Amino acid sequence: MRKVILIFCGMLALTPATFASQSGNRLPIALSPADNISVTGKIVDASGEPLPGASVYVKGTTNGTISDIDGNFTLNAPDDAILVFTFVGYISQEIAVNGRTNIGTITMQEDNQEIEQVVVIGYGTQKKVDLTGSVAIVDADEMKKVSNSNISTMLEGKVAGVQITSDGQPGADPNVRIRGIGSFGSTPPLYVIDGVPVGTTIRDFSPNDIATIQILKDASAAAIYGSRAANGVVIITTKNGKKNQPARVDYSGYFGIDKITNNIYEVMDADQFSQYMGSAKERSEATSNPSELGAGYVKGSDGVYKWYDETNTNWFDEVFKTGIRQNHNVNISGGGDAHTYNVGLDYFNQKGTVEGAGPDYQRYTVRVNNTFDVKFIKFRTGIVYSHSDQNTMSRGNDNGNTYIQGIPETGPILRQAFTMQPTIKAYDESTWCLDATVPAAADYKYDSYGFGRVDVDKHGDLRGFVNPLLVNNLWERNTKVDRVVATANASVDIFNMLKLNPANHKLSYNLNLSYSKTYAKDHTWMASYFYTPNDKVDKSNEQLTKATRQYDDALVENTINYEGTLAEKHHINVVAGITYENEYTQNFSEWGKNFPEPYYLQINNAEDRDANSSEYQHVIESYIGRLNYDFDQRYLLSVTARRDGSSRLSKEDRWGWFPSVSLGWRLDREAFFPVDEHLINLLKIRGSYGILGNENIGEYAYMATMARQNQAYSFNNTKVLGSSVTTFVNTAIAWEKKKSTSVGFDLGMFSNQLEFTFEWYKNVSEDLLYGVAVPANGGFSNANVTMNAASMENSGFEWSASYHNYKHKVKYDINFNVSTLKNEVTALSAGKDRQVDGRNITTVGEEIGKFYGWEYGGIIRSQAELDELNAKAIAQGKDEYQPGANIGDCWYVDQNGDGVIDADDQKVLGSGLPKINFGLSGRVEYKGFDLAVSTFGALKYKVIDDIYDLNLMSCYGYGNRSPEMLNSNQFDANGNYISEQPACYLKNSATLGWNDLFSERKIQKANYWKIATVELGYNFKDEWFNGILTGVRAYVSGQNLATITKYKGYNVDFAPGTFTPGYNYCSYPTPKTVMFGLRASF
Amino acid sequence: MKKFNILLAAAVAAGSLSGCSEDLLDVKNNNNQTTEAFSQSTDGLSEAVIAAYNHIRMEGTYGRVGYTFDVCRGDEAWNSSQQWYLPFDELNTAITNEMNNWVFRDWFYTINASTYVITKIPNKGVSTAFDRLRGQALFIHALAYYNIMGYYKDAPIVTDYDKDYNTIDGLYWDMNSQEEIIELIKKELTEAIELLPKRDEGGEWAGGRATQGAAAALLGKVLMFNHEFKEAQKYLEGIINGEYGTYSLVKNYGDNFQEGSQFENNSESIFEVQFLDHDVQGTQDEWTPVNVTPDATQGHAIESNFAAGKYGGWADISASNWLYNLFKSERTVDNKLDPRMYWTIATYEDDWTTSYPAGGNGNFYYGVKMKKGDLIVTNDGNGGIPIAKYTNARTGILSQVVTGLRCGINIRLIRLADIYLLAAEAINENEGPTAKAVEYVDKVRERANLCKLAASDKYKGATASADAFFEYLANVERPRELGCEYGRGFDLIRWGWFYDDARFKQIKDHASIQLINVATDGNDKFDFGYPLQKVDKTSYDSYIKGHEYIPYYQGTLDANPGLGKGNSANTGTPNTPSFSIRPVVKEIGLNL
Repeated sequence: MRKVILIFCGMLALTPATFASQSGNRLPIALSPADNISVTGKIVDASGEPLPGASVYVKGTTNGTISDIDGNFTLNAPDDAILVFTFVGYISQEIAVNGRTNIGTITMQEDNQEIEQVVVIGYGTQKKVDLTGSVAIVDADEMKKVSNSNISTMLEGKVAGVQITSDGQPGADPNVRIRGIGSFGSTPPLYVIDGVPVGTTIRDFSPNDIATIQILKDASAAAIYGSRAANGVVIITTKNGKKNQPARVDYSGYFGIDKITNNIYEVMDADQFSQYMGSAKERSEATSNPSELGAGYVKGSDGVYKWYDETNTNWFDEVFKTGIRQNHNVNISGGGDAHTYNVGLDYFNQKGTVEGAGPDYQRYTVRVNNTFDVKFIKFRTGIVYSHSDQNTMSRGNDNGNTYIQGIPETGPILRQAFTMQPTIKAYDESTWCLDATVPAAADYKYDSYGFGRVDVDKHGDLRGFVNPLLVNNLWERNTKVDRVVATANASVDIFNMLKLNPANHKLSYNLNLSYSKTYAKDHTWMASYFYTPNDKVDKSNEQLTKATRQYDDALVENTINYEGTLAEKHHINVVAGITYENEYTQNFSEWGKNFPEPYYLQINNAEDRDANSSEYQHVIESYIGRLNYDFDQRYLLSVTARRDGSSRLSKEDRWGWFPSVSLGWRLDREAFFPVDEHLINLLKIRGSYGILGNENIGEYAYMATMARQNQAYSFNNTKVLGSSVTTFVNTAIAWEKKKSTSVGFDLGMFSNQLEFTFEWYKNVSEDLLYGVAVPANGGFSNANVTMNAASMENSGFEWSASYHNYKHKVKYDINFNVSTLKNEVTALSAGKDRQVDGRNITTVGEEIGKFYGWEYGGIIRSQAELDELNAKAIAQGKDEYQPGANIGDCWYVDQNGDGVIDADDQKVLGSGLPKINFGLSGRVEYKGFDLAVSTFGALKYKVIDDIYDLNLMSCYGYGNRSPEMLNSNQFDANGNYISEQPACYLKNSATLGWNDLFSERKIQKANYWKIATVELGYNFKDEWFNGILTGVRAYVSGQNLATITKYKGYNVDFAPGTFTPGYNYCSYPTPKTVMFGLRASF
Repeated sequence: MKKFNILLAAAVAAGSLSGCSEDLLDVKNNNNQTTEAFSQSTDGLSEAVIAAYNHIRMEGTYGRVGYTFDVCRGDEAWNSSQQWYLPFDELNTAITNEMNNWVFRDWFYTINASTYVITKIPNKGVSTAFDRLRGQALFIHALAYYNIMGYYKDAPIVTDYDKDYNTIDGLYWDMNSQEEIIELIKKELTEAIELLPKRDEGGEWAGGRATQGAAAALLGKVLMFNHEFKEAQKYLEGIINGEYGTYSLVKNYGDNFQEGSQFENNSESIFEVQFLDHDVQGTQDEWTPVNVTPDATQGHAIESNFAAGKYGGWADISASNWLYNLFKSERTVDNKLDPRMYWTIATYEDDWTTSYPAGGNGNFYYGVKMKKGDLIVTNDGNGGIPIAKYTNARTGILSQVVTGLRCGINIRLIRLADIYLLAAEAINENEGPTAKAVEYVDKVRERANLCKLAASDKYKGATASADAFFEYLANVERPRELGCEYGRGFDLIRWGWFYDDARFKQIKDHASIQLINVATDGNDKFDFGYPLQKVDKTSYDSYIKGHEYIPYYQGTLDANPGLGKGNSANTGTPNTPSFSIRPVVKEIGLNL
């Protein structure tokens, strides 16, 4: 047995920070005038057991040894020396020798601080070591040492199995996914703040208010929130004051500068672009695809095309600007014997990085938390008010291509910034009034508002290339949100109330009340303009929309909590309760069209006006129960059951049971456990199984409604109105269910200085709500109906390790986590085995949203190669293998062997889901300095970048391109095509755009490692400020400084659509940010 | 204070405990009336029956393609844009073509709305009001199935709203055969005749609602389709004799193709699809069933399909040279062109003066007065003789095409002239070309100012035999009277002409086409002759057997496993007639 321990000791020597002097090897004795004597002693733990391997050294020297297997040691030391005793997991001791040769038995006390960490698990708390479910604990204190403007981005890369992806727009809500894609609907986790489920977004909360964060990942942990926990739960508690603490004021703030990286995409300048246009035109003509090129592109006598004037716009410089962000937070806290208070004031402001009306975001938050101990009742009240004001880009990736009657499809601003022709001016005063040169502009007062435009004569009839500066300056999208969340919690100690004070039993009744009110005001304005005869917004289509959305959410929770210890070793914790939540939503929207200039943007100034309103109610009732039991902290059991009823589901199906069970076994507490607890303080095996629910669909989905007075007919030329059932409604909508199995172990060593967690999970999602095709014979207007039709499985491994060492001057932490994900769609709906979404396909039996396209063969280099391909077609009785293909075009593999390449020759080309995600962060402190680095990344990951792959490398059309494309259209003397890039044309007239077909050519390897944060801080000594200020810290922080990847595109950690993973559709770039910050208390 | 707190906590606890009952989850939808709450009284069901009418003027029914696909299918007209409609002209549409579904989709909307009423009023006799609502719903239901079986041959039959529309599995209806559908239509129309009033009742009964006469006429047509000539003759002659209401041919043929209260719902009209006149329409085009709105324009887009590109039309469909020459084959008693030609085909003709034909404006095409030698082609790239019917080319009320669902001319879906010709055909089938049959034909001829058939130099041989009389009706009088109207495709199918080599050759000849690009070939290349000097193609060159019907759209088959492999067009299976096909009689008409 002891040999085993020794082996362990040897292994642990590998870990970097163990005090590692060799047993028995005396170190050179320091030259000292004092007399050295041989000192012996025995080191034991609190229970008197010997502690082998503990370090003993003479303070201030490197002279030391370690205890032997019986805890004994001998050390030569000066007779006046002070000996230091250390052992991981125990509190260090110092003992003066005072001339003694035997200093007797030294008892080391366990350092319980880490081990006894308490975790909030929903309707209660639990010791971290007793957890049987999968709960990730995020060290909020550590995390807050690094500045983040958003709670979700704080978590990026920090937790195994939690993927946070984001769009870089200020105020944008990151996409948080816990353990894969749990549903075809929305998949953000449920956020619970101070015991109150606040929904699936926490956009308007300040990260500065956070005290703790826990993430519940499996069914067992989350089951107490059963109905809404299918996508995981994030539990946040906010700061409270401390008892008997005088008023204390903390300030923290930063100022930062945001810049968009400008070398991600290269685009052509005016000379290159003109030459490219000329080449594309000539290639089109040579292949009998006559195309119009604007008269502004002039071919010189040297054969080189030039733009006729000096215009050479660098659109990147014109569209992007330096953004700034700042955050200021003042927190006042304190407390007396029976109460505490904490008041936080927070201001955040981010000015975006694109010229124009947006994006930018600012937020004001006030939070007041109070606690009162009144005899046997503990009260806690919290109220938070926030106001946010967000301007989004007028055309983002959410609405850039949305068809709006009469509004041109301009595409997202971001894409336009790269594909706009360098031959178009950014600004041009003459476009305020074009009436003299463009007769059709006569009906418009302001035309192009001084922004550069397409001149059809010079540029050609370019459609869809609308100056992004015009659109983003002229059009507005603003949302203002006011939100108040008031919560109150009373906890009654019943035994105390009854003047019974049993030592080992505690019974409390808890009441949670919460009311939140959110009031959002939307303002969108799309002014009329005249850009070209084909890209214009008529006066009759210009539109001002003003909308208000009001959300009320009331929550009542009653719980009873019993905690007891029986016969010393049986620990029981029981929670039972009833909760009721009622959400009420009111929407009102009014819009006006056609305004007189100059614009006064009120609805009453519009010529045509209309309005609509709607209201929705959502109710959830739940009965909850949980039993946590452990025997001697050795055998752990947790059983949870929740019964939920939701108004969103049909009457017969609205109640669901969500049970779970989990078991844990702490091997380290077994008598037979061979390893000393000073080495391994925790070894726990745990497993869980449970069912979670989801009802993330809209209200009233199961109610069949009439379209009243909506259908017009006429008799004798007089209108009459009719009513009918126009949509097919599934009257039986039931809970989505996720059956989750999880197995893992936790290992803590050296009093948790070193921690490992390993886990495997499998989530089987069933009865997923999915849009099932409504047969056309039904005669309904909805093509799909939501039904509990689909199912999906996610499984993966999660592994995390952390190590910290605070025992030396150089203190440091290292955290590493890695997770894998395997996804499989196991059913879509009866009779349906696949769904195609653009370039992604979801097939039953396969992962969601795999890439789907043609298998690339190569470039057709010569007539002989083209003839060879066509011979395959002729053999099948067809004319051409790729109708309209020429030398220089790409060819593809004929999958079905019919001799022709068409839509039927597509195949699955790979996966867009990263298979491995990892996070690595570290922090080191020395004297007053500290340095923190946080990184994360993904492996086995492939992406299509809309801007680069689908636009800048496109072989057709009039948009700007990557300079790589200048290489195309090159032939040798024999007429063989020699370019690396396929041929480029102005227009495609073949049956399919052969050179732009989606194939492996358009898929990039996107493995990445992102250096998310690097922060260097200095903590000033308190005495420097004469006690006026304490805890003064100054820091400089860099965010998103570098990403190690071969990927060409912004935001490799973009937030994709559910069915289109791996498709980066113009995600707004996360800027590089440098922040300067200060914290102080007084 | 302490006690108060306990009491408060207990009160809230108790309150929420007792609150946890089922009814709290029964939230009310304040945005829309639920189906259960919809009134099942006369008021509610009157609204429901209007919804059924609404659907017959949609894009896939009579608002556009549900009308024009049959015009294309016929041999009198062809697809002059050579795109979009092409597979419906050539009869070879691919099963992946989503347009296959439009007609199906919109008629099944109609079936949905009408089935609702039929189910809510399951029997006659509750009240007159209910009987009449049920009667109208039965008529519209039958009309929908008439179209479905004529376009798609086989289709699922649905008659019970409560049973068949409840669940998604319940929507996976199985196929029924064309024969079964026809039996259903006959049954429903027979009942509708009992339930509905005659148009003589006036008001809306004379203004667009389905009447006893409409039901009898549609039944007559269905019986003709089904070769039940004896039964058909009974109903058709019943209409002529006024048993189902008072009808008479209008004096001026052109009154059938103009908007305005003096023309619409006239004495000849038996069932008419109602569109609002151009000056009183709403503002929203309802292209799909999703954007249905009370502010709809309530017009049709057949005009947009027929009108010349040069005048802003979509230039999709043109009249054939065969039809043009058919009109020219016989002149009126006062030696003029057949006035029906003026309203069917918009060419310049010397005979068209402002005083002739009656009700016409002379040589006009939209606001433009044509001179001799002026040529308007439907499509600048491919030529084509412009169709005038159901457009404002000749009406003089609009100076340009307003494209979209904007044309306000009601579609006279069944008019008395058609019934006269069908009655003559039925008699011919039963007894041969009797005096009665000739009398009915003469009614139609006389309105066109032609001499009696017996006196016709060109066509007096028509009465020589049943075959000759049939040839005359099918290839002379019906095309002249009903030319470029919906129905020719139905006729070709019911006569079996896709299934007989000689007949198929004949319709290929009728539908032969010369493609002329006005810009590059010049106007002088435009040829009105028949037979054509140069035939570039005919509409039926690439006809695939079975494709006289539209195949089911693949997505429709995917969404409903009950539909199996679809119809004859999906599988490319030739259809075989259960009746004998009348042979070609070359002497009659413009046959080769």
